[in-house]
This record gives sequence, C-alpha cells and structure tokens, in this order.
Amino acid sequence: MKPAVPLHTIDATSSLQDAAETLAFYGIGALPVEEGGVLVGIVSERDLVRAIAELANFAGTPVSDYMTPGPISIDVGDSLAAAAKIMVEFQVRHVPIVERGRVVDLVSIRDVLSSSAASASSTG
Amino acid sequence: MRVRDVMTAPAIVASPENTIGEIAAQMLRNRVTALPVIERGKLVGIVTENDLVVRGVNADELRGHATLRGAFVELVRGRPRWLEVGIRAMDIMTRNVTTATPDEDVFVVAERMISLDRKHMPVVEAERLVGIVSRIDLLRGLIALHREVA
Repeated sequence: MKPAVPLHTIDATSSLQDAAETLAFYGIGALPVEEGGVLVGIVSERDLVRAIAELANFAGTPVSDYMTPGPISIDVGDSLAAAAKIMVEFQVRHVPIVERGRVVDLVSIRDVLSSSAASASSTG
Repeated sequence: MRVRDVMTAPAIVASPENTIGEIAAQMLRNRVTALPVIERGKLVGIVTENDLVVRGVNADELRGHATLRGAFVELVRGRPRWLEVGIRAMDIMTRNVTTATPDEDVFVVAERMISLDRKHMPVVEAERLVGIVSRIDLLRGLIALHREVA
C-alpha cells in the first residue's frame, strides 16, 4: 500500500535527545514508540516542540513523558484511504500500521498526499 | 478546487527576532506547525516544527559551539542552553521559501509540495502573505473532492 522503507522505532525509555537525533538523522517526522516490542505511543516533531516550549531536559527525559500514548492505528489490511481519514479527523500526520499488536509500518501524510495527488492526476 | 478553498487564513506569523521558545509556544497555542516569518511586511522565511527540532538543537553547532550531541550535553545539566542563549527565528528559519498563490489548483500544489519536500507553503498574493497551506489542508481538500466525485 506504500513504498517499502525501513521502519524506525524508539523504545519508551529512550530520551527525548535520542528521539530528536533519530528524527534528524533519518529525516522523518515521527517514531512509533515501543515497550517490550509492543506499540505504546508515537513521538512526533509536535511532541518535541511541546518539550521545547516546556524547557524539558532532553537528555534526562524519557520519550514516554512526551509521546502521544495509544495512537490511533490501522490494521495491515486497511487502505491508505483509512489512514487519510484518520489524519484529517484527528489532525495527525502519521498513522502506525499494526499487525497482531506489533507495529510493522508507519504511514505518513506524505504517502497519502502523494497517492491522492497521483490518482487525482491520472483520473483528470 | 483552489488553494484559497483549503488554506488557513490569516496565517499566524513570527518575526525574525522571536526566540525558539516563543515560537514553540506560539505554535502550540495556535495549533499550527509552521510560522511564516515576516519582516517589515515582507515574507523573509518560514519556521517549521522540523526547524525547531532539527536546527534548533543544531544551532549551537552553527555558532561553532558543539555538535548536535554536544548541544544536548547542556540539557543534562538542567535548562537547555540553546534556549537561554536566545536562538532566534532568523537563526533557524528556511529562507528559501516556496510559496503558492490562492488561485492555484490544489493538485498542482500538492505535487509541488511533495516533489520539493515541503510540508507547508505560505500563500502569497500581490507580494502579500494571505494565508498558509499545509499538507493536511490539501489532504482535506482532496478528500472532499473525491467525495464530490464519488
């Protein structure tokens, strides 16, 4: 349903510093947060902006303190349209794709917008 | 569907002198993810969440102080020094701003946004900032359009 790119995740006990560095290094906007291999949240640029505004100690604060817990996810069999609906309704730019409780991918608004624009172009 | 149908207007803006702490607070308060930077009525840049997270923590490096990891060493000691030293919008903003016009087609702008890897575009008319359009604004418009067609 989207181009295969490596999935980057982060552990809930990792620091905000690790999250910021990972986002910067891979040029991505959000990371699924896992605890024992299970999806427990998502940490995005927006969450880190909140941490900046609150003068958080990035190196000493775990991701779990600023992540969005229990993110709305879609199932591996769901369509991109389902992800698009969630993004617009909940004002989020990333939706994890889950298979049996484990995150297997992350759909970004870039994926959805590329697909929408391409299909709109092809249908005139 | 045109950009003017989906853009956020008026746009919340920043000045080049705003600190990154002020910008972060402004973004959260207004629930926006980017602020066009205006100086003497002219669009001179844009600051996005990404700029705050990536360049904000790198700004010390720009000033010759530290690497990204080094900048964070200050955070271990307590307050983030890169906030205290007063890093401002002008230090981290993207100066090469890609803009849209209100009458452009949303498909055209969506494709440009993806191909140029932009998440927001200030909307400019007669050299005046009239709004801002984000990926989510465009997606909302495209979904509405699909619904009309279906």
